[in-house]
Amino acid sequence: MGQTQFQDRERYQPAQSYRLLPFQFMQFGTDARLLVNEVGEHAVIRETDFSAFVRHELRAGSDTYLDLKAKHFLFDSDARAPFELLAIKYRTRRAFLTGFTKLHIFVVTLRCEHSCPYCQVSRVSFDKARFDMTAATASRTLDLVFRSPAPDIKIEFQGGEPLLNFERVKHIIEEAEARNTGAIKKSIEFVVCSNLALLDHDILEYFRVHNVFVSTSLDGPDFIHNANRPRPGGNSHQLATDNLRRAREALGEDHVSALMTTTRASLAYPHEIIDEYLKNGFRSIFLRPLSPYGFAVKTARTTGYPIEDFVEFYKRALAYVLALNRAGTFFMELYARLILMRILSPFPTGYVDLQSPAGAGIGVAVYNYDGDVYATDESRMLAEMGDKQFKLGNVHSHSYEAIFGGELLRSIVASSCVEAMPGCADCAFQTYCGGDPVHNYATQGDLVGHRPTSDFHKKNFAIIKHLLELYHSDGATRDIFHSWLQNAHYSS
Amino acid sequence: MPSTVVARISTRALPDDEARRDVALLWKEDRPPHDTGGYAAVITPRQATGWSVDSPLLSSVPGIDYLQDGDVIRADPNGYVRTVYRRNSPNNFILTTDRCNSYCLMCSQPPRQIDDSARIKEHLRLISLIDPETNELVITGGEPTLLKDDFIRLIERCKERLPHTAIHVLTNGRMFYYRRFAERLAAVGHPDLMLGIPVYSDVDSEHDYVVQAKGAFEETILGLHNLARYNVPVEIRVVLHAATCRRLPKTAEFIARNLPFAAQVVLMGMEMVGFVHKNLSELWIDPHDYQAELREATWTLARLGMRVWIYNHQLCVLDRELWPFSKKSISDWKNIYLEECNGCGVRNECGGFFESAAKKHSAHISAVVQPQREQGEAESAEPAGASPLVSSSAAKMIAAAGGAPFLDVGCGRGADAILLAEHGAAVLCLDKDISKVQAQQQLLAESSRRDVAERLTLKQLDVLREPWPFGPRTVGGIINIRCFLPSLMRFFEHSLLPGGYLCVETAQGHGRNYLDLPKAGQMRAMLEAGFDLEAYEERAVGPAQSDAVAVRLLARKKISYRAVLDGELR
Repeated sequence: MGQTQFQDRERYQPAQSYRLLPFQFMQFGTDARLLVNEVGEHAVIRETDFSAFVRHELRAGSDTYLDLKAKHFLFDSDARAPFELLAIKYRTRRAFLTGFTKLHIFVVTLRCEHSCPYCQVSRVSFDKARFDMTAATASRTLDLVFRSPAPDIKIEFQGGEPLLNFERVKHIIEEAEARNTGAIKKSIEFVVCSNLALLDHDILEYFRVHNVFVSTSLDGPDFIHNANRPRPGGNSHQLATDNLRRAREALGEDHVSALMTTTRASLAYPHEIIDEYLKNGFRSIFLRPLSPYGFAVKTARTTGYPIEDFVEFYKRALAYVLALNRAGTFFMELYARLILMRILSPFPTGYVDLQSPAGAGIGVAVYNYDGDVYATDESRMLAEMGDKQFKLGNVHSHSYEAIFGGELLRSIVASSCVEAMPGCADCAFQTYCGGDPVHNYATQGDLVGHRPTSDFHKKNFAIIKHLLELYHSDGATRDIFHSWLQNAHYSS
Repeated sequence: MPSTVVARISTRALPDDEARRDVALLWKEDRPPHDTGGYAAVITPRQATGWSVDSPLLSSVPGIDYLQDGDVIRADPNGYVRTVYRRNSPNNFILTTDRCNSYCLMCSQPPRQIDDSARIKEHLRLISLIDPETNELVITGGEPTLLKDDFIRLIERCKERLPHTAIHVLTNGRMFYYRRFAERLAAVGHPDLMLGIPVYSDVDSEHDYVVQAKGAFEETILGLHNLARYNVPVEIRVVLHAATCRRLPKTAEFIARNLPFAAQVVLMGMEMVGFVHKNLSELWIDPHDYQAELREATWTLARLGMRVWIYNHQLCVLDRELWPFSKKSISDWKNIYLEECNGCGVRNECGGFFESAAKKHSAHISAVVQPQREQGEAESAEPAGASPLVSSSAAKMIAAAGGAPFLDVGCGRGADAILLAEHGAAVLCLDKDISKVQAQQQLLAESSRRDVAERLTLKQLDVLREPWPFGPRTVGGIINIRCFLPSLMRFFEHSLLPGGYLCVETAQGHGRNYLDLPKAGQMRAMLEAGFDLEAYEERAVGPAQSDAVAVRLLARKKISYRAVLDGELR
């Protein structure tokens, strides 16, 4: 205070030389480096600037210097702000951990009238007593669900085909609604994952009244979908698309979504698959590879493929999606959107299959028809193959504390932090990626796994790299990616 | 005059002494008033020679003809009179102090190093004299927070005496570096407080240079986080000039990534006053020459979910793409237009210039030519009956309103309001011409639907020109059918209760109205942060390059839209 003269810029320059803050880096293109820090901020700088930067020779006040300083790759004073900002951004990014388990999957039956070769668990059977969840198991499971501290939870019904045990679905929805009357009400979202073949008017009306979301399978045009998803009559695709339309009309567009699974039959048809989604009124698609679980392993020779083939397929599909957007059709690829959210926004993204620590148990829990509790959907598929490694307990014989606070879950969490996993700890994509101990175990025999030979690693590394390259390739692509984050069509 | 007087103007004599204590009687007649005891002052433009008055008399006061009942004046012991509050103005402010701990290159109100701390008594008194129906009051300086304890008292007094008035504090935020100070401000619990705080760069050296204070960036940034920690709403302000423009897109990215809790970001054209002239060579850049940076910064913020406004820019200089973000921000009594503005097709939509711009302004000012309205094309006639969007969502909207009243903004004949009232909702119908809805209400009252008529309240209001009269979180639902302007959104969000519905249907495209319509994606972007969109539909209208769309949407206000939880950005 008391100033009466203006000072020139020089006076406000840093008094000290700079020091580095933690970050990972990698070669990016021929003449540049990609730098990513622990809070997900990234910078692409020229190789010469990078060399100068790490030798502490970058000129203070140059654009690169200021860029790296603003994004917290370097600091040059005793100021507290850079560290406070890093700390709060770190907490923010990890906020998906608050609230603990949010997604609760009920396997209300294992029975299904489809006999898909890639299916992980289902079987065609009429033995209700053997494969359906009982009322007692459902009620006891809800006890655990309501113990979860999360204020917002999602109850998802899977199978088998959950509509084959629709009575239990209704029972769980109504009991959950009735129980949710305490002083602190949870917000509960219900999702039914169904092939929709058994959808009728009464079921739709029930969904409408109880605000139930519907998730179904659509693998592409009829020749792919029907080959992937055989059922008596061979009309899975017809039923799926007809019932999609009905569901959308009854429940609204935002209440109905579809998932696609990529089989060997899909690999040659990325355009056709996307066109099928467009034709059915979707504004997005989620391109998923086969899971290495369940029957998919047994049928790998007919449905499987090397992960490199999936990556190739993914890139071709994404190129087509981008071309559609450039031509004025708003359409998103949701896996890309997830990764881009992590690259471009400071906010947390809850996606249990790709986070650190992994979402197993702490983000999602699966309650099998027989009351067994698993850390992930994949863990119960592994169990159906005879390996109950990831069984956390049983709703009838174990307490909430034993299931969600036990040694097994602790070891899963401890071995799925990418910050400490061999091969991940130094990776530039670390903050955009995640760990999957169940996958590691299923494919490589232990929770930690071996990165250079991991399909999980190959897929995610290739996709994240591809997305970053696309983002830095041209302005039009950047605009499209940003419009996906906003879920809106910008024309800038 | 023995001491300083702060008093409310009355042009009529008041009957009882009790009420006179706070009042300055404004007397314009030639003959003196009778019975003049007990007033704070009697004030007159007349010479008042030989008048016998029982209260302090201020005579021969120049320039007070415009004073109206409810205005507040300050008269110092020398008889110098200043108006400190004008009841009919939307731009009232309290200049708390002349002192400042920064020395900004472009300061429009250069600080003075004087001890004016005693002025707090006058400020507190002023607050108790202001009309409690005042919409907004700006607390500015100097740096208001240098008043420390007295600043907190000031906000407390606002809450006490002006509970319906939005308080906008212009501060550099440095004092909130002290966490306890932020905590104390939050503890006041003011219902409608917003702090406008400038951030001029993404790095400390540049920001500190602009505000001429080493360490200011550190204090402001940590101050902003302390305010967020205690849920005090903040707005980030960036004044655009040569020193801030260079890194403007990077600054925008920094704000979005590090200060995402800010309620809005305002990018402001520089006013040619105060220190600007001393530092002109450092600061001047023709706004025409920073459009690329402004465009990139605006979209960077909007895309990352932040609300952005551009203030103090003339539309002819502003990139068309940025028009929807531009706000007519220069107050009506302060703005001017130039000769070049004659015949401009968007003059009414443009804020014009600060008076000070007459001396220096962009070299690219020119009248904007608009396509003529096609012949024979009329304003869209109001269709009979309620909007299908309203009728299909009425039950849901009413349930969500929880008994709080609805607003039908621009109600026309009131078909939508009547539909809601038939379902049991109380509806406040607003229109600049309420005769049409009045007639409908009359018909209802005369028929057997008297109860429906009684649930309608009518209010004449031109929402596009008059101040928004509704407080924060006061209405249960808002419907706005066929008279929408994007600039109304902030008022809707302001007044809607969390959980309440907003139902908007813009006019369909006709003639040149595409200028009033939102751009593709704009509405969605504006709503994304604060609302859950339940229905959203866009249709392109107007010339291809206009990018205007007609929109229908149903959105529900999120329960906690600022989403700052336990001091963490979410």
